[in-house]
Amino acid sequence: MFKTDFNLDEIKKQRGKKHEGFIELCSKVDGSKIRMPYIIICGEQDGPTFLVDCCIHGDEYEGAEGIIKATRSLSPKDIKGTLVTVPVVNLEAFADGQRVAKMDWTLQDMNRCFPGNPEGLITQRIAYFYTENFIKKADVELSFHGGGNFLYLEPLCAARPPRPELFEYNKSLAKAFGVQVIWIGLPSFAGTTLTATTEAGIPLLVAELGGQGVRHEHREELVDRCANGIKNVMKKMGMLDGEVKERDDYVEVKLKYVHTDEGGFHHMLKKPLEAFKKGDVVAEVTDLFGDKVGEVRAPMDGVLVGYWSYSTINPGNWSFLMGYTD
Amino acid sequence: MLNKEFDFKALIKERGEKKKGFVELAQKIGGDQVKIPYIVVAGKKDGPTLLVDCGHHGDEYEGTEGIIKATEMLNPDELSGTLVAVPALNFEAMCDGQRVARIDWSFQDMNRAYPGNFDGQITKRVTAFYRENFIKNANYMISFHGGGNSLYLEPLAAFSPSDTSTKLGAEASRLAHAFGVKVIWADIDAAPFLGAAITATNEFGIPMVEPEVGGQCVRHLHREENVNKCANGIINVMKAIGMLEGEPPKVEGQVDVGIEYLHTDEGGFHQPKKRPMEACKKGDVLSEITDLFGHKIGEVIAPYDGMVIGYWSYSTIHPGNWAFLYGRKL
Repeated sequence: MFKTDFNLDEIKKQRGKKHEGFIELCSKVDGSKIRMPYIIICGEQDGPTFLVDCCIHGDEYEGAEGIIKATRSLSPKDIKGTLVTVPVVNLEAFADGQRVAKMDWTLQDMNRCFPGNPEGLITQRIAYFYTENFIKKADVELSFHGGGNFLYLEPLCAARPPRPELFEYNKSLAKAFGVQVIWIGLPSFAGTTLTATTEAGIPLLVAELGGQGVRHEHREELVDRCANGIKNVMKKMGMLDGEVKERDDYVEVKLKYVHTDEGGFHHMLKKPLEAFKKGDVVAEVTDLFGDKVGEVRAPMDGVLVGYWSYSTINPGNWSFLMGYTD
Repeated sequence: MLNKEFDFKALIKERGEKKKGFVELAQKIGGDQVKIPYIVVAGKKDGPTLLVDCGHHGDEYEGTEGIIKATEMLNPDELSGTLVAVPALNFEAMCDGQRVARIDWSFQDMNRAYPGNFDGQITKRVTAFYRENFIKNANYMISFHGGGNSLYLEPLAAFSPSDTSTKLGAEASRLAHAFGVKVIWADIDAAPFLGAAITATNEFGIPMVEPEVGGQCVRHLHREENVNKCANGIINVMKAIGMLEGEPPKVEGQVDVGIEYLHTDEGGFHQPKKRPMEACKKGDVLSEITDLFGHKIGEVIAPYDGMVIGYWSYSTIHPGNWAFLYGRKL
């Protein structure tokens, strides 16, 4: 269990102020601390508490930069309620450029660890601390993810209500975020942030933007989209003045991860948002001599939403994410 | 000593054929082998031996795919001499998606490991084997690199030896200019690294072209284009040395540059302020380093008038790492 006197309720009492700093959680081998950074803007007026985080996976940076950009552009005078941000939840993984923190004896994907365990491995402990001290004190959570080191993802936002009657409200927030693709339906894994937000009874938004595969040309644009997405949701929640312009081209889909049987060079044959039919070859895998060693076929009709953009792929890994409707 | 039976001259002896395979070097823990893949295209007619490799650094794939593509395109009937291609030299690193092979207890950058050591760690053993069996027997060499997991690099071709007043240097320069990219790195011999592959080509008097093409930061939009650049570059050099009929196309606006690596003092988010090939003045801020709260904690400054050739395109950078490959016209 972490020994820290961090108390969000106490910080929230100081209205009309920006707070930034690190929560020190425990000691590391070199004497430095495992930490959690926060940037909190307490509006002058009362209102809801909106929690925004990034880097539950350490290699997904666009949301972290978007949080930093949004919080620097906002003044406590502008805000009703409290914007609580944690630009990097998994700081050890982030500093290492990896999806997961390597210091755990048995590697843990933090987005499979919720609601966490105060007596477990460090990643589980952080997930627990975050659930208890942040998620359970929020009215809505927006958690940023992205393509990281390997994936291309069409910018999207998921709507994850804690109970069915909040679905429409949750979806209206996801639509306000500002991207075309709206991911409805449940995640494919147990232990994501949804476990904690469901326990807390709050709507969850999961935005996926960016990745190393597009950073040379699109990093700034994607960071801006993250920053603007935060503000758009705040407007929709009544925390900021202004109207949110709805898009007229939303694509609402469920998502399925499709894995490759074979490893080698991974060649995507479809473009993002291109439609395909059940049985279509969506990707090919070739060996070092250019010979085809595998294919990845569409398990049902759908559209391409994301794909493994790294040149090579290991057997069993995600080849692509496809969108589908029932 | 690794694989004493391997005979390079026997490998390339038969004319008019393509062959492919692996040279097995050492058994690994799991029972499979540390190995070097090769693709040989032996022309019907005699001629020089061109050695083309990629993957001294395991995360630089565009040259690998370019090699595979070029060898598929080539017809032995139309070829004079022999193309010996090694698409993934540092095979352990490549399969791991890493610059260096992690099976070495003490990490070795293969492009700092020459001349290698038959009795050393595996990276040095592979290097020694490759130098002794492949490089030594080549007349020309192309060794592909690229931006890998973290860098953006303007497509370029370096050549060695850099001294163009020598016959060898002039020939290397001619081939780099024939490769087909705009930027020519004309002082790579001055790069501050010991043990690069150019030490072996210089030792044996072989003209070397070292292209840098591609990287993960442009793969969503430009992978195919960059792979084609690599494949065509091989074909262009083969034309320039008479292995194929025809002339390599002229490249408009080529610029010869010297390149220096600029390191960052501080770590954090790396925010480049200049775009590749943008002219910069001495003292210009090339990039800023910011912390988790958006505060500026460092800058990388242009040391003289020049231009950005490459930069660290990953969002974050560790202190001491390369922020830029900075060029000046020569």
